[in-house]
Amino acid sequence: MKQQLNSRLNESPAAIKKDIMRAGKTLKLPANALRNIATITAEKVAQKLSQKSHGSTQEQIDLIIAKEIKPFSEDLSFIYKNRGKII
Amino acid sequence: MVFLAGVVHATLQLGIGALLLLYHASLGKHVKKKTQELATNYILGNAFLTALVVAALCFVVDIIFQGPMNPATLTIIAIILAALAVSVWLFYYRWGKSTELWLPKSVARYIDRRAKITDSNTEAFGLGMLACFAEAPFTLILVFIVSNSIISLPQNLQIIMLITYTILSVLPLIIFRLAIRRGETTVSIQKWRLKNKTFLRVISGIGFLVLALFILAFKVLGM
Repeated sequence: MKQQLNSRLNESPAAIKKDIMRAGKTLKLPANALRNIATITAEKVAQKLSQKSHGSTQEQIDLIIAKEIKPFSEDLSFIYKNRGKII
Repeated sequence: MVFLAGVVHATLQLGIGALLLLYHASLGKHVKKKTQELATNYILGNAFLTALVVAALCFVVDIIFQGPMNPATLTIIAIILAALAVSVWLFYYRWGKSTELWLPKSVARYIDRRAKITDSNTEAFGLGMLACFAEAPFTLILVFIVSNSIISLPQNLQIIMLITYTILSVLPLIIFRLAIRRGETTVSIQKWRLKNKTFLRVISGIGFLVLALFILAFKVLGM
């Protein structure tokens, strides 16, 4: 299987935060709460990714986000855990 | 037979999955009204291609067989249905705790990508047609059966049955659309699909099998 290392254009907190905000909109979460969740999670995820010596695949990034976001929102964690597994 | 084939068609999951992807991608980008328009056009695209294929196959069956199919052909169709029943039980869903389907990964990724970048009603319509087309290995045989049934009906009933089958085949998509409108989220619907995956698989396979037995009993053996 061809692995796409660093497959996102940007693994920066900003890009991850934007992605989480977009995913959170589908759940109709309150805007302020969503912003806080996205900010905290994005920083934690970016920190974890920067500690890796090699790049990460899309799936790995999604699983890390799912794990970090789980204490804040089960549904958001579910979305990231099941990305690419709908069909 | 049209009703039964329509119900079996409705149990297949690719259309719902692609609509879920479309909803999820669109809700994060567009206003609610735009998402609803995209979903409606997706359903219309799906229905349009289904109706078109049924109509086309009615013509093809009539031309080739000069009327309804002969018992030998119907026997072959029954065997294919039984094989599809087994395929649905064993291969329709990939193994694992997800609703991933039998589709090659590249096709699934393509549909996923198309759903994510769908921004206009035309694209949503096209996505609906694409999802319908991608399910063809399982639905084509159903459409053959429906076409065969339709051409043996009086003319005034043919259009009604064609519309009935089309509506039945997209009924899950319509129900999904209404559920979202009522307040369900894409996550709750996906969780429902995951929870009932085995049930849906069993029902779908049984549907194919019942259809095969129905054809053998009433059309081939003439009971």
